[in-house]
Amino acid sequence: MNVEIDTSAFTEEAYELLSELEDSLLELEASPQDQELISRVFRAMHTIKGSGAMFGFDAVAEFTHEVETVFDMARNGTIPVTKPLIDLTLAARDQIRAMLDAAAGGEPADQANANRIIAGLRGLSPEKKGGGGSTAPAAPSGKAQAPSQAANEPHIFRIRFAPNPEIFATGTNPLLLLNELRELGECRVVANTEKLPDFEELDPEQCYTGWEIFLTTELGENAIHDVFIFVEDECDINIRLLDRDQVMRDQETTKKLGQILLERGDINPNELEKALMPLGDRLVQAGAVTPDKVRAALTEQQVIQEKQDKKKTAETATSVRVPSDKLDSLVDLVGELVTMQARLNQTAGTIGDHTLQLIAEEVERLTAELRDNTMSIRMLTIDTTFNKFKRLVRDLSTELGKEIELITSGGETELDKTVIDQLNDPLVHIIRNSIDHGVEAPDVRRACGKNPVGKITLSAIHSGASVLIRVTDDGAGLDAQRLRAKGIEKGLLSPDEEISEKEAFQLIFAAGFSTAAKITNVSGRGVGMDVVRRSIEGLRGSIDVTSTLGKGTTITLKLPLTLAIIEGLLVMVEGEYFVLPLAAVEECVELSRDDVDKAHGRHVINVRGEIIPYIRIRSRFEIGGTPPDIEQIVISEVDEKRIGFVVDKVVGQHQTVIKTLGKNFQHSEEFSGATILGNGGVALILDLNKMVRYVEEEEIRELDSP
Amino acid sequence: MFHFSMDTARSVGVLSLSGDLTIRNAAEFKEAMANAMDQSKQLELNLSEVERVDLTTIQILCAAHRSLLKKGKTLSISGNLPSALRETVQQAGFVQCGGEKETSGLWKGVTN
Repeated sequence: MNVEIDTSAFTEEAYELLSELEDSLLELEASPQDQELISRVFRAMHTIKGSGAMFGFDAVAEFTHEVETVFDMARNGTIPVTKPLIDLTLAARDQIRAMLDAAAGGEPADQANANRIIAGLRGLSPEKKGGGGSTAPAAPSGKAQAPSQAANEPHIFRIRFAPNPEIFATGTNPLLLLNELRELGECRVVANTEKLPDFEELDPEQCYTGWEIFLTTELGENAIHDVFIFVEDECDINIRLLDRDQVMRDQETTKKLGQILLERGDINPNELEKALMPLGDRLVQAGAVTPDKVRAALTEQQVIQEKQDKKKTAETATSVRVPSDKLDSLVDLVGELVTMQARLNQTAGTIGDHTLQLIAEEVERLTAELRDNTMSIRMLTIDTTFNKFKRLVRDLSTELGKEIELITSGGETELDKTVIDQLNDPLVHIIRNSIDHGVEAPDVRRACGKNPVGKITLSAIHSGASVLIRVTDDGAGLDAQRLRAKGIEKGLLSPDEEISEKEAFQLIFAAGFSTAAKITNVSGRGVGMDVVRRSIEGLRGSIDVTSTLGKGTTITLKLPLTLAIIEGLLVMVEGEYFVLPLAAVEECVELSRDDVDKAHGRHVINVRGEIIPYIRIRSRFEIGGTPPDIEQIVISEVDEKRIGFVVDKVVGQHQTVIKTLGKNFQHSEEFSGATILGNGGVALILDLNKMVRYVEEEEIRELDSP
Repeated sequence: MFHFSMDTARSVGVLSLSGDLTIRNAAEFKEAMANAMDQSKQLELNLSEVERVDLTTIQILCAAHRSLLKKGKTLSISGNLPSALRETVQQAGFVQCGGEKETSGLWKGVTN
């Protein structure tokens, strides 16, 4: 049982590391010289290897080790960062993922592929000779020692290094040793020049300098000794671990400068007494220590301080991993609470007791806060999703021989987790389409006078209660004429039908529609955009397309911020309650018998000179009964058209906690869900888009069959 | 490789150095420095043409700087520090050498 939990912790971490790894690799491809990025890739590999071995994922650890080995060489500059290296590492990253999936019960990973990758990586490394000196990577059996290294906390070592004056004569360059130390971790070097004589006595070929080095590293003392292994006889070397964990815990504050000097034996307590503040200067003046010593001590203080600061920020910025179903049930409970609170308000109002009303109001305030907080927990930034597409664009454009740059903006925009999860596939489709059909091949672009490198922009911005996600390409754009011809060919339009450009663009969302002359394995199978549209509408969002021929296409997704709670308008028809999403509602007007008579049986109304069609909810759902003399029309914007919905009475605004309908009712697509009212009743939530489309389709059918 | 001249207008001695200043020619470098130091009260070094340096270079410069200060003379560096020198100063941990008080820092321009 315990083992189960532990491995899931590992796999989750590993998945995260893998996506970080992917990001780093893509960045590295853009700037292959960036040491920091190379180290980041290396660290990610190293951690996966280490904790993989620890949790018994031996295959993962072994495989990762191979990749790590090669990247270690890149880190040391033994091999350059090249495209093949990045390609192979990306492939390796996918392979590790496949291995993790396999361990989680997925399909077994392709071992042949793994061997191919390893062979490729090994091919990149030069003959394993001592070229890299002490940094030569360990043999493949190194996985056993990996976990203990990875699990180690970084320690600070103080290294006092004083070479013999004659060290230059042996051909040793102490600076190179310092550089080797720098490779072990974060390193501060302070030179000690006490022994440097007056200029006249200086022998220019002798070494007078000593060093104090403060090294923060995860490696052990032996690694440091290894650096000095060839010079140990000619140098004075003293290595001390500065911060054992107990020491760190015992003392909350950083050591005082004087204390450090005392502990190091550089001064005695009396001297410290004599020289009070400002300590460093006084000590120097008193001749107790040299400036170099003070400087070294100050650096020591700083290094320790920095480490503690780092620790503190790490501690304060911790987060808790929670399984998302726990979060879902929390949201459910908050929903129930919101419903109950509405009921409490209503009851308190009916009873009319002042004290009870006060309590009800207080509960309302708290509930609202609780609701907002809970919702914000579910909100995630969209940048993880965006980052995934960098890889998609890179791989696809290479495959198709196009050069495309992906620009993202608004990655910090937050959306409900459920929305983000379900947004991935539609976006993949859209971006694939842009790469395949939108952006032209480099030579075509050059011929059109465009930059041969195509550009796809992915952006997200808030707009009221929705988020707009745009995918813009600077490609060929949509050809309305061709779309129309294709529509006729597919039987979606009659040959004499005239359609506007906008309507022509809408055709791309029709099922089975594809303008691509040939089918590639990327897109063009005609299963793309209609599926996209359906899934976006499943998220209660909408999709829109604009395009200029020769300039490019923009596809805009409009998505609700959250799926769990919406602001709704509660309406009533013959004692039945319905909820319309408030975001779509524009205004409410009266519909009198007079108005109906004037329209001569057509379902339209004149609102301030504008003719607006309407749908009677009463007849649409065959509710029956007689409508009141004066009905209400809720005018809403659906697909950028104004359409009215006729109801008996508008009750008012309603915090709608969305409950999905039971299995038996899921086919009724005109409802996006239901909600429980304050009085315990149920109101159905209308999906206006779908309702309008159904009514349109029915009318067209009626017209076609006279 | 070493060129010394007096800027009489400013009464500053200017020592221009170029090429390699490593241990191979450390002795010559020291001698050139010693001559320049004797001849001028204010010594200015132009190091912009220097190609390679090592620890000995820095030791010589540091010692010279300290000796001059003791005698009430000054040593300064004009022009840009070549990157090789800058790197070596960093690597050798001399960045803060001379600090605020003591010698008004020969390597002030170099940061960690």
